[in-house]
Amino acid sequence: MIAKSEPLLAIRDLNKQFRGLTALDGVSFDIAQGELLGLIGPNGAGKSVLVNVVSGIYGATAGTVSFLGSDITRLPSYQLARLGIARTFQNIRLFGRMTVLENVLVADKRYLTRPFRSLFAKGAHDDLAAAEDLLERVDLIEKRDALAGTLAYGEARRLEIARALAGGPRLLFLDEPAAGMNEREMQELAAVIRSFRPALDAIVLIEHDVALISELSDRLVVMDSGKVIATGKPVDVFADPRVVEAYLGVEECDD
Amino acid sequence: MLAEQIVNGIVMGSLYALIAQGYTLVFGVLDKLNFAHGEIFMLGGYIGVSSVALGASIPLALLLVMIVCGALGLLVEFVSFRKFRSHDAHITSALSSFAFGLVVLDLVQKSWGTEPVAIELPQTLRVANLEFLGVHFSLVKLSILGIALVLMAALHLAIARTSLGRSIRAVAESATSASLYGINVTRVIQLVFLLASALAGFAGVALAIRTGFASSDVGFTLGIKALAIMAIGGMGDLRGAFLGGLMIGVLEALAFQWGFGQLADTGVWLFMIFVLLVRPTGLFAARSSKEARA
Amino acid sequence: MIQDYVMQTGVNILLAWSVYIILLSGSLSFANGGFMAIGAYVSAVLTVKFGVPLILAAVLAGGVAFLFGIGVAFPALRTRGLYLILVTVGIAASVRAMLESIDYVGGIQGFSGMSGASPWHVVALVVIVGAALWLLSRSRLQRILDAVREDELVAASMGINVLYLKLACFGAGAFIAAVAGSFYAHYILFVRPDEFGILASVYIVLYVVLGGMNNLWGALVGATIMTLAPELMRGLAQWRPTVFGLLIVVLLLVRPNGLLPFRIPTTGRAKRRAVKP
Repeated sequence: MIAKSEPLLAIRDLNKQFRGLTALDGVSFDIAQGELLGLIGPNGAGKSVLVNVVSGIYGATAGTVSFLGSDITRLPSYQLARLGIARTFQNIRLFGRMTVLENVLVADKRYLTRPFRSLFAKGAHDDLAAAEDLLERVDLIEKRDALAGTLAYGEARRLEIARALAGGPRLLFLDEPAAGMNEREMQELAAVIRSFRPALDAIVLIEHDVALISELSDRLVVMDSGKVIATGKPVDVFADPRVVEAYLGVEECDD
Repeated sequence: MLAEQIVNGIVMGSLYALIAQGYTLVFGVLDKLNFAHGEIFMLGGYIGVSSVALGASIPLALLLVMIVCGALGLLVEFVSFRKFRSHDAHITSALSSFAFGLVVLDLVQKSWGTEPVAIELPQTLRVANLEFLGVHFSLVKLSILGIALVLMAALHLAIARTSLGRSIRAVAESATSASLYGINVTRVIQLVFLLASALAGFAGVALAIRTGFASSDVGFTLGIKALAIMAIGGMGDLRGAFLGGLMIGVLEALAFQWGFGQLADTGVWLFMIFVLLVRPTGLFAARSSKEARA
Repeated sequence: MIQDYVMQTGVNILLAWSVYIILLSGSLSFANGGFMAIGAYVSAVLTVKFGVPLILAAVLAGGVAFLFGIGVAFPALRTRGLYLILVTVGIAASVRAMLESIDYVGGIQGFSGMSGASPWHVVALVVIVGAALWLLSRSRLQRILDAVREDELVAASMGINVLYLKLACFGAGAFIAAVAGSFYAHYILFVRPDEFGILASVYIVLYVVLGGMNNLWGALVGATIMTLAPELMRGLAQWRPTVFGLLIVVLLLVRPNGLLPFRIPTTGRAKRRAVKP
């Protein structure tokens, strides 16, 4: 993958305070077009806060986020999504009382951006083929009419990814998609992520599993206590003593 | 007289505060609204009137009322709250307790009629008053105020100092962890309903003594207004309910004094909406609403 | 007599649907008694004092309530859960208290002089609103609304303008409640502020909760049963309110999710599934 000159997303001096508690402290890095960026760090390092700020769920206290050169720091969540920034949630948040198929269909941008016009538009119809194709690729097609709330853990994780992809995003944040998965499920997930990669401009993967993240990522950003402490290729980053101390020293390594 | 009006307002406010503390106690431990509370308050007035008519002294009547209303509170908890403990069920329990209130109201109207029933107070008690700086204060009103303040202070101390109070605070903080510490959560919730309803019953009698009669529409007028006062003071906050009650009582009295009486009700509700929008933890709640609960 | 039943049931179905429409986007409104009051009073003033024809007056009153609904919902939607419920209770109470203090519409004494509504107006409106809700239930808009109701934060993170939809639902619900209120006022011929307020609002919510909150039939069935049940209790005439109250308590204990709790999937395969709250 060759990164183009302009970054897809540029984060500059991002700061987030919660009642005097600093969750993000001057975070700056770029996400290049075409890359799969791994975001790692111990629990409480600020990774999820960062995703929440970038996806508009929290407002930033200071700093800027720009998408293809335009400032998006103050945009509300739904407008960021319309620009093509999608995400999954660390604690799975599916629409539990809707069917698996509905969870995917609802993400269709043609309709959710114009909810009322979708009622009267001529020729408006659900893109069933695309939705079923997506479900096929995350291996959930058998479950298409099950209620999302009844899915097993691994299935629910995959449906979250499918739902995020169904909106046709350019940049996708995956917040610990492999949490709680066994080795086999993790390999399946890695295959799913690889297969979707060409359709997206960039993916940011937050993950604790060192093997998985090293295998998938082009580049890593390491956070600790709300700061970026290292960036670079996985091999280089894991050789960095500061990373070993902050990350591996604190976290129990799964493998 | 302005001073007299202010005292009237404080007396009325102390009754609002008593009722509002009942709402806030239940909200504190369950995060739910008890819509039967106003009707229990209303019933208190009738039990009081009838006890006095049957020859009970006023203290005995008060005791009877608090027992009957407390017991009814336990029934409300059992019927309208016990089964709906989950967080999603706050609408179900609100509506169920509302329906319970409708039953109480109908039974009261069956037993005592729809017209207000006068309370028979000894003449000496009714006219007794104190003079202070040239202003006359009715002894009855001052006693009501005094007892209400004592009850609320006792409640406050019980919750702050006793082991039962500690249990109540623990359940308010988190029912799950309270039960892990071996606290019988159901028993604590029952206790809270008992206390809340007994206080409401007292407020009912006190109102009947103050106005001279028991009336079946006070549950829906004053009882619901106390709900707004609870929200103004801070939902789940005892001190907030107390200060909110006194404040609204006085403001209302002043509104009547200056001829805006008609707008008092609208004012209370608009004020509540304003507070919920601007400062949802309430006007008087301590820093963290979680800390301040019950 | 039968006309009265049709009228009452129809008005209550419309009111229940007005709560259901707001509930579509996840907000439970106890303000609809207030919206109904606005409809009743605005249309009554228009027909009695200005000679506006009934239907036009009803639509105009609906428009006023639509704007009012959006105007109050915009700040109110900053709150959530029980706080939002209390705010809507406050709206209903304020509307009533305000009407009581406006002498132009008779204050506490009430307002009279209007006439001309027949049960057919209401039946026609029930058919229209019911058909619209039925079409909606099979549409993508319903699916988008369901997503908002399930988890508004996730819905927003997918690109749905949550506030816009919630405001639209509040406006539409207020409109329906107000038109129902207009016809009610012109049938009953005389309105007083205390007919509306909190009590009326709670009853309307009860219809929806008892019927079931996840489909349009729940509100219809709930409103119908709750309107006609007291009539069926004529034998118990003297004990009617008590039996009615106990009936609600028991129903909530036995079927806390309503009589018809299912949700109908929007993908055309109308498999009915039980839905937990």
